[in-house]
Amino acid sequence: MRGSARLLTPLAAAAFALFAALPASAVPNWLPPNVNASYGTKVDDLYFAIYFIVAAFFFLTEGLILYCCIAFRGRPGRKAKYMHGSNVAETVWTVIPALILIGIGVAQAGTWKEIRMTFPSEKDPNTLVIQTFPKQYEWAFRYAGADGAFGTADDVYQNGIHIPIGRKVLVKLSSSDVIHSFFVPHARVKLDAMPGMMGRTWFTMDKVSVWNLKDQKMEVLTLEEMKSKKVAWALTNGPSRQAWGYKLVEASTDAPDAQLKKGMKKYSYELLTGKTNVQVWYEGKVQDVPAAEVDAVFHRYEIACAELCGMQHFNMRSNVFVDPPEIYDTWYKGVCDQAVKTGSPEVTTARWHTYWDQAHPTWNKAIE
Amino acid sequence: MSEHAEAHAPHEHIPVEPRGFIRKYIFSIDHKWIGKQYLVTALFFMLVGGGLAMMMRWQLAYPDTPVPIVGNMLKSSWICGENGAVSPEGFNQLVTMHGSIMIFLVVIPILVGAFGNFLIPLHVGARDVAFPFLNALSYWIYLPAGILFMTSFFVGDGGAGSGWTAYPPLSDLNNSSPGMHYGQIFWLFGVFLVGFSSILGGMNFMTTIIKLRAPGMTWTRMPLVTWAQFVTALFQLLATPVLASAMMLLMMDKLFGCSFFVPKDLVVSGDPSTRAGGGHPLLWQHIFWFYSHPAVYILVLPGMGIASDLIATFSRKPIFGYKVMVISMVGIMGLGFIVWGHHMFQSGMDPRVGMAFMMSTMLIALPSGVKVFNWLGTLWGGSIRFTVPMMHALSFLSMFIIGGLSGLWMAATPVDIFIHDTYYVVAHFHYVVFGGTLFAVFGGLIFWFPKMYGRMMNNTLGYIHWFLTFVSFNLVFFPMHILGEAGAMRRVSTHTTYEFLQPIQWMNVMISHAAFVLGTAQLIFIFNLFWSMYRGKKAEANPWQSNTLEWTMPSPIPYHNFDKIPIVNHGPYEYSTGSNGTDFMPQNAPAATGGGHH
Ligand code: HEM
Ligand SMILES: [Cu+2]
Ligand SMILES: [Cu+2]
Repeated sequence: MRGSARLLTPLAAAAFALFAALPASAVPNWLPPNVNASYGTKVDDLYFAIYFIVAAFFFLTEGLILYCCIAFRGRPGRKAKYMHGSNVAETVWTVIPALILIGIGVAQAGTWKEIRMTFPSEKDPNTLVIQTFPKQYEWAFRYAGADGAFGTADDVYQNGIHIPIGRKVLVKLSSSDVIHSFFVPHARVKLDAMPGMMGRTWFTMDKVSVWNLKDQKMEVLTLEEMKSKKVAWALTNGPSRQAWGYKLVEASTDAPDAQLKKGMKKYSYELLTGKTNVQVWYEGKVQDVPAAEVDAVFHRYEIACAELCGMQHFNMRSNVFVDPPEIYDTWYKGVCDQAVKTGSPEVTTARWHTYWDQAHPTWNKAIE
Repeated sequence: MSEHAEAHAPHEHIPVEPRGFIRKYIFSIDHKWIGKQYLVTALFFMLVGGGLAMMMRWQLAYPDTPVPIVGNMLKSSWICGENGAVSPEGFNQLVTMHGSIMIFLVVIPILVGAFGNFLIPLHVGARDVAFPFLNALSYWIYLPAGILFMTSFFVGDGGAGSGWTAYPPLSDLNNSSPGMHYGQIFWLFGVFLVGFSSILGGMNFMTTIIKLRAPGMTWTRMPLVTWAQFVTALFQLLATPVLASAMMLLMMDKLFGCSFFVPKDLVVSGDPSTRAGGGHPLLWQHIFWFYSHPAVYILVLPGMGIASDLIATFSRKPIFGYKVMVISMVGIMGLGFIVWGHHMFQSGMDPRVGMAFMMSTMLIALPSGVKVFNWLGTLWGGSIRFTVPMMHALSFLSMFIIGGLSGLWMAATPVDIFIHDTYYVVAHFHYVVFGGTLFAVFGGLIFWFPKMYGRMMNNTLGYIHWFLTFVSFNLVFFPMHILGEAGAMRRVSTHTTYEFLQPIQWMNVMISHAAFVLGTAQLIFIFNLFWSMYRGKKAEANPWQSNTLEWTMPSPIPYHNFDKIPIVNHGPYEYSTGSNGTDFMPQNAPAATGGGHH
């Protein structure tokens, strides 16, 4: 082992040095853009911190395999070294990894605690509480409505959600059929909706998703970055917005050359027929501009079901729209008024009433 | 060594080979034949499970496009729709049956049923296992279990479709989705029987290893393959009854309307459930993973054992740190029982409990890491022979490293929030189970083939199969880490439903093409195996110059194994001692020539 130690040390050092020296930006990043500034960034940082540690071990060990295969390949006359091990070496490669592993464990405990063990207060008016009650195979959400209390006649029922940018959103979720899992990739949030119990998780989304009309692609912008953009609304933005100018078109690419792209969709926003001027959000105000000047359309983030829940599981998706505060307020006021005026359809409300309001009334109460 | 004196006498009973066809080839009680029965049956199931995976990959690459070759036959069946494309409910069945078949009918039976059976008596120096009849029984329970699994596809409205993890209430309420009634019940019976067969096998192997070791075969002279089988048997004895009870409970829910895993007031597609309620789906997850985390080590420990033997043999060196290798296996077992909660971080389980499971999970990476370094230590300074089995052993090592390292991301609970139930997990376990275990299995089969069939497997075909498998395996499973990083959920039949997954769909296409190569390459192995049984080069007694006891016998091994129970004088890995003019030292070589320290 003496000869080997002489080689091992520089090899290990080189592997570690190589990875310590790599700038973080050199690491390929396939994660969806993170828009959760409150803890998503920490999740991503942890992801990449582990990336570096793992990469070092990966190159060290795989490099050693290759090295051994070359240096110690059997040739006529070569004799293997007769040895049964080395207590020193074995102690080293037990203790160092043990310290690193415990280190990773301890280092990330705080983030876990922050994400899963500390909650924004439900009583705080700045916390937006949304109840989630998916069923096979659709998402269902409920807001407290004008009175701020759940299980009352003015509750707002939605299939997708709007949330104000940067506000803490507390999701309370359960299910009355099978397990579903609430997953918003861009917000780094996931929690199972488990029948028989109510789960809570929270997140924030600090960037607005817009569809850039010029480049025909989704962009995520902070409020600051939005200032200079004229952003219009599409029908998908929800029932109570009267300023729609566009509609979302999902075309499948069925061109004959597209065999390799089977199932791929082309997304675009089309101006509604007959529109010349549209309303936009620009410089913090709602304004009317000619359609030609519009830069972008309010776009969505996706909600996915991450737990196999039956036949149509693959299709169980929904939207979350992140709105500037004023826009959110108008939207919310709209849906609240509508809930009071027309009420919500019996088919939607019945399951909430029997399960949440009657069988589990405590779930509607704020938890400190 | 006096403890062996009393165990000695019964060995001297020499079993006589039965004459009749049925006793010889069907209801044989010879451990070697039973091992081969397991092998051939499991390989058959591997082709079935692989076929299902190919159909899945087709759907993922070309959603809703008719499946080539089989699509026409399966039109309007439970798996395919009217146009011969995989249907959504069909996809769930494919995922479920692929996973269940591979785990319960392929990997465990090959590792334990085939290798355990064939090798344990030979390695400890016995004429058979302790309870030969029980041994035959465990095969004859496994086979019907497999048939029940297959039947699951053809009863009611389709096969089980709730994943190999069968989470209730989906698996529990008979009307929750197509296939959840009779299909799921057959599946449950199947798993129950496989478990039963495992328990019988575990008992048998444990007794054999404890009681039937030849004189001089001390615990520290046992080959690591057999040590691994011993720890695996312990795992099976302690964990499998828990699985069996989970299956029983779920069966009672489904058949008799009990409510172990369902709370009250459930409603499925508008139909209120008639169950009294009072149970909890989380209970299932706890019981299931209490078995199934240990089970993932059942899936790899014997592979680690095989790799240890191959690496030592072909490096012509004693295994580095034998004792630590054993201790780390026992450590894996101890820790293996206290990490199950890492599968439930996002289930809504109390996060404080999650924190504890996170720490234990970090620690379980340690014994695996130590083993990796010890294998590296074994290679170091060796005189490595790149035989086909060794190529597989080296692949085991390099792939297992990747699978173990990816475990760290998921053990870090905040990161697991994002990657749980994505392709990241799929990449992880295929690197450990396929990249790890299956390479060890291939290596082991080629290595011990001469002992099984008296012939060598074809070398050229062997290298071609290894190369194609190694390359395409990595092309299939490495990109799955990236899919997971991009957020692609597992068990979703059509990723293109989601806008955020559109940009990486090309990767699904690429993976599928590589998967078709990977699947096809396995036919080369199967061909080589059967061709070589009859046409392969006749094997000498010890073609690899290896030390363990089976190599001291002719190839193939005679019915009664040892003419005379051997006396063991050396450890299993005394290579290149420099003391006897060769670079190996059979375990039963006279003590005088020994140079080893065991
Ligand atoms: C080396 C240390 C290992 C660590 C730290 C580790 C960690 C984990 C974690 C945390 C998960 C759950 C991920 C999730 O669902 O979010 C997981 C899943 C899994 N692991 Fe490991 N693992 C390790 C080794 C192994 C080995 C050796 C095997 C098998 C031979 C294995 C097989 C599996 C399987 C089959 C699953 C997925 C089960 C499922 O959800 O279907 N792991 N691992
Ligand atoms: Cu769902
Ligand atoms: Cu596990």
